[in-house]
Amino acid sequence: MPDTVVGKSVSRVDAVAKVTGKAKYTGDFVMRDMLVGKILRSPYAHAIIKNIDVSRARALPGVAAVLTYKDVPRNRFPTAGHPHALDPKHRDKADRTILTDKVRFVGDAVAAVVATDELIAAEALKLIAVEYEVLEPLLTPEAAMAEGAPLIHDDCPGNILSSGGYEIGDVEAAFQEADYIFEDELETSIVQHCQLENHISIAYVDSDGRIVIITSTQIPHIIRRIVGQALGIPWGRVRVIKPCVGGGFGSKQDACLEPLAAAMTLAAGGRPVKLELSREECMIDTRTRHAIKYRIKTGVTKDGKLIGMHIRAIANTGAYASHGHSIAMAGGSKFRVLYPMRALKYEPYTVYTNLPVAGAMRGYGSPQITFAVESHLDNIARKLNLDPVEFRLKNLVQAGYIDPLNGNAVRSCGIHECIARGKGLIKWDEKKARYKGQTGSKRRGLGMACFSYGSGTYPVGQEIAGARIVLNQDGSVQLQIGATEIGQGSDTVLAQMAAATLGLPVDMVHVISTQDTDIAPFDTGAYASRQTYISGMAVAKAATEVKEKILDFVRGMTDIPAHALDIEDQNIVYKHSGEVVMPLAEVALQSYYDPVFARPITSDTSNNARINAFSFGVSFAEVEVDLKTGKIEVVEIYNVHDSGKIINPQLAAGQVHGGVSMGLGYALSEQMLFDEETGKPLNNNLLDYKLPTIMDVPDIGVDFVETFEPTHPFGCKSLGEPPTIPVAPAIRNAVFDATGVAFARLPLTPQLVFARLKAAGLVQEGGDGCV
Amino acid sequence: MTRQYLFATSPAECLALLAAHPGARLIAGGTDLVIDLKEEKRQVHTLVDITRIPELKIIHEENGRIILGAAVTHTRAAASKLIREKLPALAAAAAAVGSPQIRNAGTLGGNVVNAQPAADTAVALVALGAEATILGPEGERRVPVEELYAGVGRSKVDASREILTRFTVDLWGEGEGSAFTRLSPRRALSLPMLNVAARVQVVDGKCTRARVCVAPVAPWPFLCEEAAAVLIGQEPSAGVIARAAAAAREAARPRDSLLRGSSSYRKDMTTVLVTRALAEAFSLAAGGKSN
Repeated sequence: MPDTVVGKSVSRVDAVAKVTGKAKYTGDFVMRDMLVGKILRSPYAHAIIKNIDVSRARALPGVAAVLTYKDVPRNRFPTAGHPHALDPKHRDKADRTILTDKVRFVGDAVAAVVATDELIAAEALKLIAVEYEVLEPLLTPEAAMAEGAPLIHDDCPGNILSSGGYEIGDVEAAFQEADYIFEDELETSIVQHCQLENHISIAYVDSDGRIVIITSTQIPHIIRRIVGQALGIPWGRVRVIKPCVGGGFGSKQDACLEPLAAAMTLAAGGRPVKLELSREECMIDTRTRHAIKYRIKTGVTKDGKLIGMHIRAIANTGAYASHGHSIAMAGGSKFRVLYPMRALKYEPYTVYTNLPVAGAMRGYGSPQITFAVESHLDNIARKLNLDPVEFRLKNLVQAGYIDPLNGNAVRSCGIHECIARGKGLIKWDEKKARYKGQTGSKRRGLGMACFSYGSGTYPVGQEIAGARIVLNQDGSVQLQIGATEIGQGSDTVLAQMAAATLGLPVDMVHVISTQDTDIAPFDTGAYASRQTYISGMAVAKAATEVKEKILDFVRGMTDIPAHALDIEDQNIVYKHSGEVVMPLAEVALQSYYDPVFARPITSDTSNNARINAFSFGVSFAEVEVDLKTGKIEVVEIYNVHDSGKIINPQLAAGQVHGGVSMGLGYALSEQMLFDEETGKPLNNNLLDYKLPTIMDVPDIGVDFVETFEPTHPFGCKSLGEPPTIPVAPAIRNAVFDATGVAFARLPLTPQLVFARLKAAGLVQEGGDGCV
Repeated sequence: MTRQYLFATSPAECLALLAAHPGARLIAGGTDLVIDLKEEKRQVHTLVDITRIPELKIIHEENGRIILGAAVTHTRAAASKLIREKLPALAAAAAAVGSPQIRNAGTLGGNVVNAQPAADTAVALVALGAEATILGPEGERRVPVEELYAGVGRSKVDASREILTRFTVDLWGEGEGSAFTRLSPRRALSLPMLNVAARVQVVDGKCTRARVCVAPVAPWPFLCEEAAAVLIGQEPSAGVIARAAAAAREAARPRDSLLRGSSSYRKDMTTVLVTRALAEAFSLAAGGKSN
């Protein structure tokens, strides 16, 4: 396929709308008679509501409705943004009701108010009297799993949401044969997405009595189903509209607000209700990234081959299931293709606690397990006196490998080349030599970490995608897709694919960015780094169908066989010579208005992609550690990715910049903190939660090893989530290289680093030993 | 809820407006006060804005003193050539506050009257020995900045009836230097885990004057006389600095905070930051360049 569009950094299709402020986000929808919704939140981490008196709130002038668990349907529903499973055994855990009579974390929604404005709503919240029977808060998985611990959900013994793992081969037998056995314990922290746009939904009842929800979501079609389940109404009675979205990173791959927003408008006689969270609310009552503790035991042969690994993981999933069970499994499956070994046993426990709900977040379990495994591998390399890169090269996957559990195959594999490029960019060998035997109070070190990741969720999840293309009278097309632009740039790369197939410039592809479940084709949404790969397949299929219809129409006009024709630069041409037959616009016009043969050309396509592709990559980091303060400065960092063919280099680099920044925060400064007794959040705001600022982010080096993935018409693989995955372990390994201290938890705050350096004797008493 | 927002054009008018509206309160940059109002930590029906009073915005040198109006913003203090040259600790402290937006609005006077123990410019002003001029119904008084604190968040300046108009810093002359250091979890929009300002003077090779302020290791910016006592009369050297830093560490009483840092870490860091601030201050005193 001649390519003047794919592989080019064309401008985002929404660039002008966004920079001029014309792009419409949920908060930009202003409606007549719109009411405001607000939520009363629990001050306790674990308590039963004994009594709740809303009479004073209801009596306040300007209050349209006050809701408690008594006033809303009590259907239990799941919130995770997954395709619905026909098999009830494979469904997400339905552990939520719209409002609850038992609160399970500080900030859990107890009651809701709908009022004419925000001030009245806030005033009404203060008038609600709640009597609680306070229960013991369980703030760690250990406490939650302890014998005799109270149950957070009555139907979940031991507070263990899920514990299914797997074993490939026989791990104990492998350990018997190993020359060395290594063990480590590593853990990650709870962090938050901090997407730019807070969660917001507007709900109303339309003139036909259907519930319409305009919402900032990654998954409009799934939200329709979940709202239907929550309210106990047919799913077709719900219409979900997704306008521009200011980021999600997984926190909007979940039904956080929509069921309550729907209940609010129903309680307010169908008037529009806007439910918008503040940043402080967003940080406690949407989703977080799971903190996971790992114990890893690994068997290695004398020549540095990994032959067996046993990973035990305990994930803190917080108060409700969300994606919890699925994240532990996804993390445990996507990483394993990187170092195929004879035996691998994975034993995850996902545990309820009385903390905010953990759910999907960029990487979906992979940043955690990659931190653990890649740190563990560096610990092993040091003990074996092997260069960390050489150690990995002895064990890395090759093209042709097939995952023994899910059957997914490695068909394109650029990880070796990624490592070679990364080594060159950071000058690995030269600097490794130079930094040997440092003595000063500032020490430099180099580290790296690899990852593997999927493109979509097959075969665990269904990977259905939809696209619709309409050829206009002027030869341009509308492209409508079911998957969702949330800032990542999918509308643009999908437009590029349609344009490339149809011989059009990108500005002749008009993307309908809004997904409206009444009219948008079905697609499960933006998650799992699936749009370019999965939704791209549907777009290519639809565009190919439109192209076939165009060429067939030309055959009717000219008697030239369709197989001899092609479309190039908006012209119908002879395939063999490139000679122009007629402009595409002429065909398009004829297709609408030919008195006899008029048949406007469209395609409405769905693609059920029963396939997956592994993407790979590596982070190389150089750090400087101040031994006197424990401060770490990332001096240089490079991410090199094999995401197959890069459709839009500038957008791809942007993904890497964002992902690396997220990884830097994960490595060095971000963590949600809670009072250790009460579970009250201590830093659910952007002052006390240390998301890196632009001042904290060094220049980020980006490179791509462009393999061609044969399962995709354009050869691409996933890129949305991957850049954030290897960053924290690369930085941790660089700090290990600089100091010789094997750090085992995130984030590497100055205080934590200093304490370990001091314990290791690298800092003399008083901190001024090294000059 | 705030119902009136008034502008004063002179300190005298400001006092008159406060007197005429009991319960009214001054507002300068509002970077702390507005948050308190929004969170309903304070109830103020009338605010009197002092940012349009010209004499509160001066920065100049006269008779061997630097005069800074209380409504000078952090941005201006950080950018002022005079301050960067003569009082580098203050310029560095002002540059460390919040973000560009906060520095554009927040003022030196507000940083002191808000009475937070580790307010960056307040810490620098204490180390510099700044005196505050306060105008009230009873007339004018001058008080060293470190004596304006009644507790965390509680100032002896009563912003409902008095106005802090200016800071005065005496120049010490030949052989003086000052510096500010700070440890924070990120480079912007971050309260300090610890900050230190130091001012020294070296005459004939001996340290003749020294002031070291450390925060937050007490309910207010902590003027560490123990550290100064070690320095005075001594020839500046790494050993002397280390002893002064050790004295500061000994005297510091930081609290344990999950958010801002443990007591033991901040005690250890007191040594490091005092060492760094003194090393730089002595280097400047010896004619070196500020980094």
